[in-house]
Amino acid sequence: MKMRDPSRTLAAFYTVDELSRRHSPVHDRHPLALSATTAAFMVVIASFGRREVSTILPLFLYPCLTLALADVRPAELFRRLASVAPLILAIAALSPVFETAPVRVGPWTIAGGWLSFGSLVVKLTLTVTAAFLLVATAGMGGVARGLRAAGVPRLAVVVLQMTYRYVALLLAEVTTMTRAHELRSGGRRGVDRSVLGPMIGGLLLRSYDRAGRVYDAMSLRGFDGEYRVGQASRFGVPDTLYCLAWLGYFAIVRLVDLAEALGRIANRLAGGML
Amino acid sequence: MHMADALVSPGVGGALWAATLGLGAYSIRKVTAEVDDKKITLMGVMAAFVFAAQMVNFTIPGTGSSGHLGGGLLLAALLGPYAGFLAMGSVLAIQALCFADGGLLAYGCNVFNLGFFTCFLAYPLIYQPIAGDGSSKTKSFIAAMVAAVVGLQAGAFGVVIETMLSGKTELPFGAFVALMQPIHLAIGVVEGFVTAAVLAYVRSASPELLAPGATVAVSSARPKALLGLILATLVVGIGLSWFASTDPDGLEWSMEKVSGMAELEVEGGAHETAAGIQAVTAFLPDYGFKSAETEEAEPSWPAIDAGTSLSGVVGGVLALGLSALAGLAAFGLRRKPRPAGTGKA
Amino acid sequence: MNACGLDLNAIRFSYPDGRPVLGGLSLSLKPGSKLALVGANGSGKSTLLGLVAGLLQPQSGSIDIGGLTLCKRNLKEARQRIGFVFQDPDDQLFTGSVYDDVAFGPRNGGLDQAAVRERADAALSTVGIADLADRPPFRLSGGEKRMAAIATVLSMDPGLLVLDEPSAALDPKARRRLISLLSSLSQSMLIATHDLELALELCDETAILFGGAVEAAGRSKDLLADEGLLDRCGLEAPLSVRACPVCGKRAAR
Repeated sequence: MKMRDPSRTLAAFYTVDELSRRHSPVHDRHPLALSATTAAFMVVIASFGRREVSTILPLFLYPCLTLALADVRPAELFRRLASVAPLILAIAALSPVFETAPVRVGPWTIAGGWLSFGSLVVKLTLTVTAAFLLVATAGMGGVARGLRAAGVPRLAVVVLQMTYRYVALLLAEVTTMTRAHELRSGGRRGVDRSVLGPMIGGLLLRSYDRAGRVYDAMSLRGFDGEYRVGQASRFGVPDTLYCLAWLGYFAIVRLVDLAEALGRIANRLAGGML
Repeated sequence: MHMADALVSPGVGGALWAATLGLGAYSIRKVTAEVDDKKITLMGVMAAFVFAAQMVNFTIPGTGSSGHLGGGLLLAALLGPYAGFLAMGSVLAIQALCFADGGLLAYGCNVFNLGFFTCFLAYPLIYQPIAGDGSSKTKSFIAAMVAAVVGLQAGAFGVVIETMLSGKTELPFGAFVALMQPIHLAIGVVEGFVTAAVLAYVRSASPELLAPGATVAVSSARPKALLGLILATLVVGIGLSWFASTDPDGLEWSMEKVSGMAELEVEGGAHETAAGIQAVTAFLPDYGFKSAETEEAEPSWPAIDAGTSLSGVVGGVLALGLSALAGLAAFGLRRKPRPAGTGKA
Repeated sequence: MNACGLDLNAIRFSYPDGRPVLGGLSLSLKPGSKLALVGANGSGKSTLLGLVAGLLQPQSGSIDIGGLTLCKRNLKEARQRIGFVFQDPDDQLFTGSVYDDVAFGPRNGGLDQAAVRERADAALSTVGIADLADRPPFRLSGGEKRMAAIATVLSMDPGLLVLDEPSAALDPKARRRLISLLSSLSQSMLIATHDLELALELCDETAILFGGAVEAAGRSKDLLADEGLLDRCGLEAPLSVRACPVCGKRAAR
């Protein structure tokens, strides 16, 4: 099990939040447009077969363009990929072991498992990237509005927003707690079982009390069980175009082997050398 | 433990999303019926608590490695199964969205594996009957331990089943189970320890939080509702698989559909359009449904599989390069006029 | 809303576990005036504030806010007159952005979109953080959080502000801004604080709580200079009223 680091998690949390509060042609789209595009992207990727690699590659256009248009530096994205990749790669790496039947890839012949491996790597990169881009452009507030617009009950969305709001606060608290513990535990980083109860239990009780005070603060300002939010922005023509353009592109990639077509064009241009 | 999108097929992902939405809606009905507005803030803050508490690493005695809290069982014990399930869903959503811990399409799978089994199986069917009113420390400890282990074993098995059904990897079922279950036995023991320790502390410091009133039991696990849920899951799963799965039959079916329509278009259209379309489609030979060929030819060892053609390889690389170029071009265009705005209106 | 007065009459309160906190406390605040509530830890300040806001119910005695005697039925109406500022702004700022938090009260009051915006904008510019409207609360400094917390209640147009330790954990500049903001507002104020300098500067009157009762109430200048009284109540006279340790002179106030 990997060591979890509260301060680094907090930093990552702040980074995404900060990114999502910018302005760009992507950030300014309606959250529903961004959410729908992401959802379609995920489904399209998942619908590709176990051994497809080249067919999926044209989908890279989406993250590449979005990164550029939204002016998001890929550094944070790579950090994210690096943190989730090992487990999936471990599973993916077993494919060549179990799938030894050879396949032909161009002029080469390799174990079929390598295609599965490549396919998993590509899918992993694309899905993690798309999820990251959604939050980095729509923001948590945007995702919440998208969920509401998609018909998810208000209670669930409010709980989600409140979780997001207090995650930062409690992470900061855990950072201080673990630091205080580290300073007095002689360099050992893990918490011993004997202090685990008081430590996490104490945090729990403080959180419980905080929930009570937050509720008081809400009811003092007229909260009566109905959580009222402001009017959502309008779903405009640019939002529709944005959605249609990407959904159309995804559909083409799914139905037509663009890579193969590109290859043939290249072959024709190169005068049939391939 | 968290499933990534790369391992999930639309059929499996969609089915478990549907199941999650159904369970979520049911839980919301239950929670709202409790007429306690306080629950909303409590669920939100407690979900944030679980997320933060997961960051506390502690040493596993005698191994030198470290573990951390999962939290599903703890949430169920504090908030009751319904509110606990919703809070766990919130934790998993934050993890998936903000930290790429678990996928978006796989969100339903993760809620099921980590939320459903802990809140609706381990808590009411194992923890509560063993722990009783919580007066016995030993009983409470055993209850937390057994419930955590069973919950995680069920969750791990869920991961195996979902991955197998998705068919994104060719891992043999037996090997996968042999890999997942023992690992999650260890994780379950850890979870049991943490949950038991935290609950024991809360019980001694602030017993009213765990009073019977605070936790509403699942009344005798409604078989009808559960059966309905399972049926709905199956229907959605099978339906979606049929449309979108990698299963050759399904794909052939959809290919026929699509290519049939395309032919129709060409024949029915005006001559110019038809010529235009043909010119375009000439570049797109056979609609490139090579995955179908791959799948069909695959098991026939030692015959060599068709795999990917050279133009596919070249085209794939080209597609990557073009995507990167498009990104760079867009980036360059955006660079020039640089508005200094920061906050989002 | 016009500034409203506050009258507490023979309030008795004990917590469910039986430990008595307030035993027959009476206190009154004239409309438009500012009253400092000082006292050592455990003297009952926070409990008193909770009672005024209707978060706790007294076992006996009455609470009168601007002529409205607090009871279960008129709780909603009474709460519209009170702006309660929590000690920890993180309890008060629970939505995703400062604007949403400031608009929370007006929205619950059933105002339309335009009126909500007007109220929120006015409150934000009163406290001087109009530029932070779109920030998430966790991206604010301590001073900004405090100002945002005050804006969340100002947007509801209260007649009485109840503040719990408003200057706690503020740096000197932020504390100064807070004091000048509070002195510029026309609402009546009940301020529970350990910051006796703030009490002296901001409030004409002070009530000293000790052991669940009002030990003394009167002009801040007089009470906070009474070192014997303060010492008896577990407090310490503010530096500005103490005699100079070298020459024995008092500052002219």
